[in-house]
Amino acid sequence: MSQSPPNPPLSGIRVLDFTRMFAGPWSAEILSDLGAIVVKVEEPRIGDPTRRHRPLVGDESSYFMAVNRGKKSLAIDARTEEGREVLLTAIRAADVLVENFRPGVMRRLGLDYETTKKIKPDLVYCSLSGFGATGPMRERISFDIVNQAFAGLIDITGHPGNRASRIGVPIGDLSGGLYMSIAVLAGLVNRDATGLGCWIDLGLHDTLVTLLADVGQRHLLDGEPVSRMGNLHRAAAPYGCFPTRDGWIVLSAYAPADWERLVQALGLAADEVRAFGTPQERLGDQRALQELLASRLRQDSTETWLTVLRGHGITCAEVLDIRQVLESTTLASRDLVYEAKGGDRDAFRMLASPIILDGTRLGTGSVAPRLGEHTAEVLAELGYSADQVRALTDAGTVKVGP
Amino acid sequence: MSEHAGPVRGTKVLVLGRGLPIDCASMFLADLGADVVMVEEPGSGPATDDVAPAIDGLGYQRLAFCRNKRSVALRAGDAAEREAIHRLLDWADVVLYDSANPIGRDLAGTLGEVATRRTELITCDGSTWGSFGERAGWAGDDLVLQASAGCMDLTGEADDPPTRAGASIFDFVSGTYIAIAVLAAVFRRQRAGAGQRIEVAGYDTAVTLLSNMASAYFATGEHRSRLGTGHISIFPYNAFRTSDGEIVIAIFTQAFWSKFCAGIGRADLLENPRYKTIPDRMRAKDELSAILDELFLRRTTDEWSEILREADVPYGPVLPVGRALSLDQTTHRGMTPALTGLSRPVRTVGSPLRFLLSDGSTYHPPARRAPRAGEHDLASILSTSDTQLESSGR
Repeated sequence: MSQSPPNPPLSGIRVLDFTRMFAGPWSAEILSDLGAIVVKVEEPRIGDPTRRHRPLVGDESSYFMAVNRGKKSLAIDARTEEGREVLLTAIRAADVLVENFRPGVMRRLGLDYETTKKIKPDLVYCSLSGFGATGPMRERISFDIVNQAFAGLIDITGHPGNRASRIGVPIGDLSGGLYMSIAVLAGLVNRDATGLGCWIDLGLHDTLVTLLADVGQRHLLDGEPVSRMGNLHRAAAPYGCFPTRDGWIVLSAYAPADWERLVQALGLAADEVRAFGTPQERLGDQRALQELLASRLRQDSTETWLTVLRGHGITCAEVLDIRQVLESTTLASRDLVYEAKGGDRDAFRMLASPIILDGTRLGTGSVAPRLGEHTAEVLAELGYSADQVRALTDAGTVKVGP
Repeated sequence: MSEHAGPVRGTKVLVLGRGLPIDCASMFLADLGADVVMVEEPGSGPATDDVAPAIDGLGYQRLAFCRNKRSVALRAGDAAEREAIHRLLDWADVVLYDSANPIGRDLAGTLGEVATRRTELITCDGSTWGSFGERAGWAGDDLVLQASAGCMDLTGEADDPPTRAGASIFDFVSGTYIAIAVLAAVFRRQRAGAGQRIEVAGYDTAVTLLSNMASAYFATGEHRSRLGTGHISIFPYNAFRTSDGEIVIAIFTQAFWSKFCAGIGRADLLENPRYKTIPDRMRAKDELSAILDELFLRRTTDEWSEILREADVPYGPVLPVGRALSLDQTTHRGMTPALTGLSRPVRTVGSPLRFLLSDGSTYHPPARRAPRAGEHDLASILSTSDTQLESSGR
């Protein structure tokens, strides 16, 4: 695959990115992958706090590198009047502004939507905070695990009778970041059609609640109390995770034809499966069914069972840990891992974007910026002279780095 | 609210067949005002489509993923009905399909021809494993992805078996990425007139979620497995049992540690040199855990919530789904709208997207109930398209 698409969808679009930590940067990285020029606005002393997160790759944070690829870093003190003037100039030249401060912070900086709208009426402005800018919990501090708890996701994850668990990937942040990208893109489509700008006020809590989708709908339909069920499915069986002699596999075979093939694949005798003849019977006594399948699957290795089950057309997979996933031939065959190179850095492995446009995978071309790496370049584009940049630097308003 | 409103109103989206990733993606587009038509082969929907609880013949799964859409029943195997599908392919601005689904596989060639002829067409393949690579064409679902992309190994208590996330997060994440790619293509088409061939494999989106954990592994060769609600390098950052439930706290800065110790009336912990820094607390995790475990059991979740709110530290009661959905914040934000068009009012989990436009108007997605399979007829879809375009002002 080629390195970068010839004509990316967001080419020419300028995004002013005030986000920090994870969710917002993740979203802005998607916009960068899609071809937008993303200028990351960072406080000049230490920048995005995740720049300090370990482990390091070279002398930089692997965490920061994972969610800031392709952006330009503008290190500037937004709390000074001079800094704010520069940022207002940047906003006039921008198409999109994204931020993920607690509600009220952008207003204190004099950069809230109502203010920016006056100087740039067609700006697409998206805010993402823990609970959104309205409602009784709007001031609350949020964090992935906190939002997962409030949205009901921890209670429904884990095994009945045992402790609840958080979902192992930071879905609380990720869901907010993904919706932020959707919101910005929809805002841009609308802007080009109508000339109108917009503000989207996203709450991580709201975005996480949408993950309840079908589970939530069950509850809202008939008031059923819904809690965790381990690896079982609420509406289908057999479905779940089973031990083999040397590991764990998942399988689902709830459609009648799949069930017949599963019985064959496992070599189960007619009298062993008599009680599970219909989908209702299989769903009705799921635990007995799980135990029957587990006792058979424990007798052989994961590799053997995957071959046998796939030979019978059963959907199944091995449970892999991070290393197994990232070193797998399956992943290698998707060209999702790439060697990132930038400046004087040694090449290092990164995950690219899952989006492929006209045969080209996005997000394989660049690395994250060092703090202030593009301050001079961005200011020059905004019309600041070398003398003005020097004056701003001497005053500590901006940092030209690294 | 006008039926033809929303940021992408007038965009005609055809969905070939069913499957949760393309169901989710097309729901996001429908929420934003796109005119979404699902082509459903009679009897080919997900096996869970009709499972109770249901209302007016619509199962909870269908209600949850098919709002604001229309449905036509057509079989790709029948010559006359295939002709009708061709007319819909000519009608569409965007076609979503899954190349590993029977109908997607069946129509892949036709779709290629249409896309060659209609260069403005946007197509997106949202299969599990993608169109190339060692598992191209294989079947898969959310469970397979949770296992294959590391999430199950990362979820659950350390001594639990690998654990599935309680929601179908990978179907959702695939769906969001499909919607993102399609919206970007719609934006580009609006400017340049050209369509785009898009591929978003569920597997790729699932692996992408490892993000910072993947880059940490690439940097060090080290990785972790599941830790319940715990964190690999921060403590306390996990759930504690209370007298009537569980509550999570996330004490990830020194400032929060000070506020936390003061708030729970244990200034002595703050002064104890063994618990001074985050690395200190990680080293002393077992003894500090024992102290906090015992402490949290003494009060109810509500009492602790009040204490921790006063202390201004990040905390969250582990709410069951019912309470999460009835929380004042949730309802205040309009996240559980009533579905329109049902025989009795039923609420659903709505869209978090609400737009305040620069002219002062607002847009919040509607919540029209899911269509029954085949509820809409071809003629009405093809004939309404022109008037819809006019009314949208495009």
